Amino acid sequence: MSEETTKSQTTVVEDVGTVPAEAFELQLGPSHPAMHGIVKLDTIAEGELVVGMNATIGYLHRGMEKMCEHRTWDQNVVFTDRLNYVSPTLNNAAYCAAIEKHMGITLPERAVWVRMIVSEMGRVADHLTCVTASAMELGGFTHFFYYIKARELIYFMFEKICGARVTTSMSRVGGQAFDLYDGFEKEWREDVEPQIRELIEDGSKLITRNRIFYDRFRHTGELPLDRCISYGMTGPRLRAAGSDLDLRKDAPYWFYDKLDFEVPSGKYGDNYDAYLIRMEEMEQSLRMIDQCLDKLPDGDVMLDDPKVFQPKKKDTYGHIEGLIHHFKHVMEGVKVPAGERYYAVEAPNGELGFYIVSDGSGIPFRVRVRPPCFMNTAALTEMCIGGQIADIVPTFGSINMIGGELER
Amino acid sequence: MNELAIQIIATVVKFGVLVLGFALGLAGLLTWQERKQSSYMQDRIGPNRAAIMGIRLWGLPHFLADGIKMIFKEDVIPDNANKFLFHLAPILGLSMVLISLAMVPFGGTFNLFGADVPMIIAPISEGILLIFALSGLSIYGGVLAGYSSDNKLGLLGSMRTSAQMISYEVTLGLTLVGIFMVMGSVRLDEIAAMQGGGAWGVFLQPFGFLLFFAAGIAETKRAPFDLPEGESEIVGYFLEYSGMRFGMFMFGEFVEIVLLGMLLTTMFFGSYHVLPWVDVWTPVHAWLVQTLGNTTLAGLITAAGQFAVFATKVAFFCFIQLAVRWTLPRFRYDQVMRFGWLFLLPLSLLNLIVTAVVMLL
Amino acid sequence: MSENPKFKYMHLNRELDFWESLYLPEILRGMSVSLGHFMSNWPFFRREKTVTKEYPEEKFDTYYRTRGRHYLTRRSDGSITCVACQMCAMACPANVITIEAEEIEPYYTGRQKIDRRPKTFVIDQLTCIYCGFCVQACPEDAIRMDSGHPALAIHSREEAIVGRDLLLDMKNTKEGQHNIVFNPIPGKEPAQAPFTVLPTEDAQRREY
Repeated sequence: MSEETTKSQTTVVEDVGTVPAEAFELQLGPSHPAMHGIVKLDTIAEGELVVGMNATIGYLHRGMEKMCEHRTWDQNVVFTDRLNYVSPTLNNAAYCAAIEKHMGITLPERAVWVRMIVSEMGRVADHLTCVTASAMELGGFTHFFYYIKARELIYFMFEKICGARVTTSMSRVGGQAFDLYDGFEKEWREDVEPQIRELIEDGSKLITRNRIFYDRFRHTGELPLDRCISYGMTGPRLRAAGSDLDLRKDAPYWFYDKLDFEVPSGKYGDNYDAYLIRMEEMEQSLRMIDQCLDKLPDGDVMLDDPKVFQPKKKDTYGHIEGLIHHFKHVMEGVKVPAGERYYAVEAPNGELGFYIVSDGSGIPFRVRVRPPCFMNTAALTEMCIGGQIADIVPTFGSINMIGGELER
Repeated sequence: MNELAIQIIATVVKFGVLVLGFALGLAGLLTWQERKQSSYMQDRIGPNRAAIMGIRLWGLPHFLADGIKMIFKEDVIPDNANKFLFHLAPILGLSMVLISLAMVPFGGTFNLFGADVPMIIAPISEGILLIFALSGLSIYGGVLAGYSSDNKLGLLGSMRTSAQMISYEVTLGLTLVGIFMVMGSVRLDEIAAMQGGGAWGVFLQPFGFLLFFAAGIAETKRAPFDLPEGESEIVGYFLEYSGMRFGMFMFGEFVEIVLLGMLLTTMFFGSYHVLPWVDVWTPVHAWLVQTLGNTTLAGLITAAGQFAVFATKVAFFCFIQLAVRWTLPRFRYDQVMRFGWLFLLPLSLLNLIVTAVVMLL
Repeated sequence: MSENPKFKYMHLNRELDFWESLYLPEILRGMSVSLGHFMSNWPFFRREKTVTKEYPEEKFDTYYRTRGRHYLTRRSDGSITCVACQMCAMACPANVITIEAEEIEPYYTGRQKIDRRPKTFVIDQLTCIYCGFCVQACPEDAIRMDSGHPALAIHSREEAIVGRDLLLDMKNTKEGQHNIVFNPIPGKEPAQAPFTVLPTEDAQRREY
């Protein structure tokens, strides 16, 4: 049963009978400043204390998985942009990698390295957004603008690579549609990365050890490790509880086993742990991009196989075979052999999985996304109950619920 | 002219200068300053599009545009609201702060047209105590706004308002007792005058200054103590207000900033005096009287100079308050209570005891 | 784990020490940062660190890959390059391209025989998701999206539904001070006046 049918998860308040008469219902959202218009939290509060909560999702459901069944494998890349729209490059790459894994094709090395670079850039952008969104919910607006400025630098680079800031559609089955542009490495190393590091550092000075911020984040939204696991949570929120599960380390895909990076894990499973883990992962991601750029080989970023990847323009214009392949590729799409495959990568929020079912045609039979923040949102109610109304907001920010990914 | 007429005319003029001209003008400017300053702190440019006849002046006309917008916006009143209280609340919130301005001195006493005119609108003996009383009343603005607007979030906001303001009033008062002990007066004009040739309050009561500043920001209900508003949690006690009624709350907040700046200046930073331990204005005034041969003219010029110094200091403290507001995140409800009762209050008591002991020795 | 020297932030995962619990030192540190930014932006309106662009007056530099509004190209003789093969309409994930073909008197340009052209070619640029698949799918380099038209600034929804002639004459529209690049493919003859704007090197580099 997919979660579209279960639109809301109810967490039963312990001893419902003893909820005192003063408790009142408080609806937070969907038109609430912190709820982004996409989730409704029916809260039962005793004064400022939250004693019950019921998270209702479904305000952003667009039927993406169903739409995927009416377009070719390649065309569906545009839907993956709109899953986690803060780190779109990573979704593009993960979706295409799932199909490639199923087809059993090996990409040119450069394509994989480029995917890793843009994925890590996406991860930095995502963590920047998440960290600063939860800080902004506390009123730390200056922090917000520093981090959004850093994120914008990354988005500008996305635009230079592929032509769009957010709806990147960078990957195709069989490679990347866009190689890094000339001078990418120089620009990243000399201009963008130092700026991003400086801004991250500035933001960290503003809040990390500030007692106001510390008190707001420490021991709020706590969830112990066993509860996290039982909810199926992954990513920073799971690592905050003490686990060090990271698919990049534990089930290395692409060339992550060739990189030197560390996986941080927290102590309490609270918001502060999650915050620091995100800060640390940004640092590690920046390190990884550096290493990727060192190891980036020359060559093509797309597979030279007209059955998989559209032929280059000079073949299309110059040769009749190229033109025919081009036509067949556009009209029929990539022929993916019949069968099914689950493939997961470590997205900023956790394990982002694509479960694809093919009937052998150029159009998917079924595409199922395992969105990491769905599980995290399921745990939101348990994190919030027992806390204060004011704690809902940073906790909600810290699980980084992205509507596009949650409801697809 | 008899003295009473002069006093009455002087009071009207002082009211025009201090309240209408300075406090309201500065509060209006602060709406612009807040955006512009925050934008520069946040690596933005900030609003700069509003223009009068094509002249932009770095976005300065924005506060006029704001006012015009506020006045012409639809005034929405919820159906189930208590209409009387709903209308009363913003008036209470704003007027109490405006009345408080009357007790703030902005210059010495001068002989104008044969009458001794003090540069304070209401030179009453209660002084600062009346300001506390009025700020206690202004709590009702916030409380009634949330209570009357028939909204759960607004009600939460008004509960937070009452709890926070009442707790911080205690600290606010206790920190000032130190200053009263040192200065030996509760009259703000006397405190201001005493700092002329002597030490400024901040040197006598450094701790008192910090505590008063913290508690004062809590009284203005701005970040990091803006949880009555708490725009991302509960939208605040003025959730249901729109148009100029909301504008009055907002404006009241800015006037409170100016008032806090005035109180800080008056009690801790030498009010209208230029330098600590050096009395500049007495020789200047004497020299002016000698040169011009006209006490009234000399008095007016000196008063203008004193007012300029006072205004500069107030503007500086407004700047600091805005900087604090745009740097810090927000407390949580229980943390604000804990901070007020378990952190600020003991410290202010300690400050009081130490002051008393030092004075005895 | 937190003792790992490769970590930069995890060592902060500790309880507050005495100074931090006094609020003030950390507040001052935070204010030094924010006021530092203020001082590098405000005095004399230096704006050293601001990133905001005042849009109509100053524009962002767009790279040649930027996916702006579509336009159709012309051959060197001025005729429309599009041969109405419907590839773009098929590749479009949002189904915004509608092409109606018409037969024309056959003629030759170079080695190519031309006997079809679009009678209507309509793009709904509001429904469009600007993915660039149509550009990628075109076998004739007839449709392009590039940095020339970044903005979709219109007054009504109808204006966004753009037909063939307007797509061709994009460069005559108000915001069309872009370079329409003709025949960027090496080997094809360069474009001629009166339609020519000099080919930019950027478009020569388009591989895909």
